[in-house]
Amino acid sequence: MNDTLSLSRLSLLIKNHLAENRQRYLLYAFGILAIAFIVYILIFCVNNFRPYYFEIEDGVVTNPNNTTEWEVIQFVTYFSGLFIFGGIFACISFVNFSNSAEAIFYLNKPASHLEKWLTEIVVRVVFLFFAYTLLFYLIDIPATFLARGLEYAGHLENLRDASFEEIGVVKVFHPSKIFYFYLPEIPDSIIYFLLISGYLSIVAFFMYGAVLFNRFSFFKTLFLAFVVGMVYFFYGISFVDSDILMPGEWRYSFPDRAEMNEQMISNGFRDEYSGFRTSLGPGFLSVVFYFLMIFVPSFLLLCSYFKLKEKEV
Amino acid sequence: MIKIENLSYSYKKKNVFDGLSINFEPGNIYGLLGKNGTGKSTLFRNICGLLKPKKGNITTYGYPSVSRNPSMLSKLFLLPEEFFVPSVYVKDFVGTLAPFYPRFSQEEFKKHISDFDVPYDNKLDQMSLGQKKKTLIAFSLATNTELLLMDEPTNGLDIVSKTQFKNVMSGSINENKCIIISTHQVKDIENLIGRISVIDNGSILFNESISSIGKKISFIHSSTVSNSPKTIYAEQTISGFSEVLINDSGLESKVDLEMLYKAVMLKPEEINKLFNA
Repeated sequence: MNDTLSLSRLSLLIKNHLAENRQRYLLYAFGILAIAFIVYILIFCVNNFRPYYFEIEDGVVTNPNNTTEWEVIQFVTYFSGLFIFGGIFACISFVNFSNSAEAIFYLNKPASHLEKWLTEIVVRVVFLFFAYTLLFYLIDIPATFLARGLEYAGHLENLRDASFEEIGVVKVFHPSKIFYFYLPEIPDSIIYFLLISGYLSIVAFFMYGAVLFNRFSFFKTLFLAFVVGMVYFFYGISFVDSDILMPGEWRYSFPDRAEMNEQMISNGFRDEYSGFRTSLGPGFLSVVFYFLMIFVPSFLLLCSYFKLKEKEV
Repeated sequence: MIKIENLSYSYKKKNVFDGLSINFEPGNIYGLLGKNGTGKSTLFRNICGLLKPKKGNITTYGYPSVSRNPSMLSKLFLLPEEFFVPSVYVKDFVGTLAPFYPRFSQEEFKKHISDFDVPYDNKLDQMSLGQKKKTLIAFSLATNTELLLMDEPTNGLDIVSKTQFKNVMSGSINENKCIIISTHQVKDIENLIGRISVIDNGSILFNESISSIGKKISFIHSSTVSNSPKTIYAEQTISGFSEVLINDSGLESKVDLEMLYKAVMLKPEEINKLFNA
């Protein structure tokens, strides 16, 4: 018997986990649907029931950017929900360790810590990701049709001759953007990379909190996140304000990796901003940035594994 | 099978074990007795690897308990005093948990469930406390694990269920199996256990087989106290007096667990002198 990782035991554990939590997850699914429904009703109300607003004059849409707002609304709603539900769902990871009976039942199941940890990742990260996306579209697709229908109804006579880019259901999984984030020629890919790694970081952080704290893990993890965030924020400010980094607009704006790489490749570490000798170039910052975005969630997930291994009841 | 060497364990402010050593061998049902808070449940948790000893070693089937190795965990089953059951039907509970135990027997489970009169089609969390416990006892026996740890298994069971428990348990022991029952209800495990271990002050105060006890000690109940020099311990009861005496008749007497426990706790020197002679 392989005592570290057995795929058959892992699949048994996942099956067991889903069977034991079926009711709870169904309840969560209905909760997510209800909240998404309420959020879309609020979006419609706030936008005067015209979230897909546009005007047409002589067959020309006079405010083409407004239609893209609907895409932004969907995008922001999707990722806000993913972050919030990801955090909440991760916080109830493993088991309720404040209940020793439940913890004993869980830890005594004949499976390795690695298998128990992987089960949590499969359920909390992968299943949630797909289940949430499915639930989101169950509300988003009808909402998009409704928003367009409401708007089209007001432009029936002008719509026939008008030509404009119609915005439909947002594609949150754009493969070329998600999986090729390292290619600078793919526009906006960095945003997807940030969002995905941000999601993983949140999930990893709350999973660690779930195994670290026995009681009120959600609130304690939130507090810990606040403290870490404050330290990071103030440390970041002092780091950026120091002379160790090259000055320039990029310091205060979103780090455009493509631009940085281009500078690094063409100029090396030569300082094109006058008056300063650069110790650490933008390429370095870029590397640090990507390293942190990948390292942080991985590190936190590993921490939760080792904490689980050491857990006592 | 279970080797505990020089075990020391303490909670934040309370020392529980201090150099406890004991071995548990297969083919026995052990009765683990001790006052409240002496660490019977803590010992179980240490054996399962749920707690880590501050000092000393515990090996279960050759594995260090702290490793919580799947091979080790599939060979033991712990029924804690305060237990948890998920919100699933009995058949789903068995269907998804039994595959972790290679020697699990569906037939045995159904037989035990039927012996205990527990409905098979119910949801676990909707059962009464006694029914939940009986389901877990039936499951634990059907796993056919070599080691079965039961912490106060008769708590929450009615009188009929306690008799059913005794009957089911007595048919479950074999030469490969070791069952350790921790309880305060000594009457519930009378005629069931083969060996008795008493924990006190962080160590094993007494650890003998029932047959050895029966050969060295006798128990009598009479209307008057004997005042014999062989008396180790005596107490007044509603119907008269109960006494624990040195058995020099050469015949094996029937062991009264409750009286034995009191004698061990209140007259430890005399008892130890008798058994270590």
